[in-house]
Amino acid sequence: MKLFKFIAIAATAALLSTATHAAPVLVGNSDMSGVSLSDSDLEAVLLGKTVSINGKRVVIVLAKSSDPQEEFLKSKVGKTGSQFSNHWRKLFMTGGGVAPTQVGSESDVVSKVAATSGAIGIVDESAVGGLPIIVK
Amino acid sequence: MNSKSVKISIALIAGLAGGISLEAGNALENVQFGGFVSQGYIKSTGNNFPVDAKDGTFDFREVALNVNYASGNFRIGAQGFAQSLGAYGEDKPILDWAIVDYNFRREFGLRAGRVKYPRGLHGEALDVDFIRPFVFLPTGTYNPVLRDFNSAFDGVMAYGNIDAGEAGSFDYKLFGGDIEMGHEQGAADFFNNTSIFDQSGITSLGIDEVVGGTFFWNTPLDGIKLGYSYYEYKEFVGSGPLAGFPAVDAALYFEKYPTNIFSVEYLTGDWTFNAEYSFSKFDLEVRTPLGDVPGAAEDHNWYVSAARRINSRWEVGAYYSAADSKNQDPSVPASEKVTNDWALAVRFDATDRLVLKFENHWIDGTSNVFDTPRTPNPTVESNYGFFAAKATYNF
Repeated sequence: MKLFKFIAIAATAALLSTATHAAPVLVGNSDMSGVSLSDSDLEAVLLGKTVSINGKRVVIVLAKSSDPQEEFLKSKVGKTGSQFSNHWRKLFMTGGGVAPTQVGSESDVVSKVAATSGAIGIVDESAVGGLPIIVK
Repeated sequence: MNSKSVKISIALIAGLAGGISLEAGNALENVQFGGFVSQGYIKSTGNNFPVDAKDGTFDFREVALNVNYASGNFRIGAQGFAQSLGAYGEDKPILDWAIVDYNFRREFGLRAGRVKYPRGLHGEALDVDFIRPFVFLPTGTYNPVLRDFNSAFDGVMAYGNIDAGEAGSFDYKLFGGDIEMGHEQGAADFFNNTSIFDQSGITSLGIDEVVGGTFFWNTPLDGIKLGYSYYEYKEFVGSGPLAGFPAVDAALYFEKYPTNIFSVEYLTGDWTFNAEYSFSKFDLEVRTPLGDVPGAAEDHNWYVSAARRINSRWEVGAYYSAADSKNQDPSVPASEKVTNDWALAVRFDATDRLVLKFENHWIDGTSNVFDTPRTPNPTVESNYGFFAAKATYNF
């Protein structure tokens, strides 16, 4: 009986967890509607090797700390948040690129991306706030 | 490549960007400022290495300020920099980099001006110490005394990233230009450390041209990157009063000074592993009024390093770095032909912006130890070391 109770609690916890943390996605400003990127193109954009999409300069918006962002960067770019930050610090300080815009929280990512032409950001799928999803 | 060619290249790239609109409202939004300031301390034991520091020195600091503007595929930026490293640099402000960049597409871009020098894994980021746990990069491959010489070139660089599908992707950079040099630079002490010149040192240092490139394969294996870099100085020469006859000048001349670097980087979880091997083989001439003496020399350096981010505050790292001059002269002791450097570093991120680092080195072999007025070592010990601490604030 105790085993069944444990399984039931664990299953409920897993469901709740799924409900509150669906999956990280890359969203874009409304001028990115209809854009889709291959894995290779996505990596090139996030690492500053491609600087524009649809003729718009890409502005990467990052939350200071965000689990979906960390998960997305690890799975799509193969870097931890710290390694990703170091990559961009190196580019910015050596004339290799313009640094991502950092904001406080995931909700700030959504509002900054919505307000900035060419902006992209990583948020949980449940928090896209009507922004076009570029990569799931 | 002369300065006229560089100016033409800048004009061409700027011309390509002629279509961009610099609307006043957006222009300021697209401007970014950044920089860093650091202060460190070095205490060496046994020998003055990497600089005059047996008594301990706080002459170890850097300051940089940069500005960037980007619109569409066009970008401009510049950074001022000043450094003091022992008796080198002396806090003199320099233009570190100043570029005009046009990224046509992922596969091809052009950058012109004073451009950071791509070589190996870390050549462009010698000063960006807050992206790693180490105070000093491996001292054989990235000798800190050469910073003022190896940091940037004036010229043009083509670059890009090529998608190779299942095979990953390739990054390339190809460049040509020249390097501003002077006898006050750290590089001059490699000439002053020979027995060719009077103790007052060389009075001129220069090259005609530097050309080279880097090629990195971002393999399909998670976190593994392989690279090859090549660069070549042409007509590289230092000259000054001849030892014993300071009334006449001598010169140490290299028609070509080529360097090859093979690089590996492996990122897995919170670990970063790097390894690089570089070698240079070159002919030289010692030129004096009494005649020219030809010679040949080579230089081999390699290192392996590991770093692990423990948590958001702490990171540790270690490396082993080796330098071997392959000197065949039997009269030179074996310990003067090599340098073997073990380093252990700890990094603490006090805040998001302020990084503190502590590092110790245990070294044997003196091939990289100078005995010059700026880094005196009238007697040399084969086993020595140094401790370094550094605080860097970046913004």
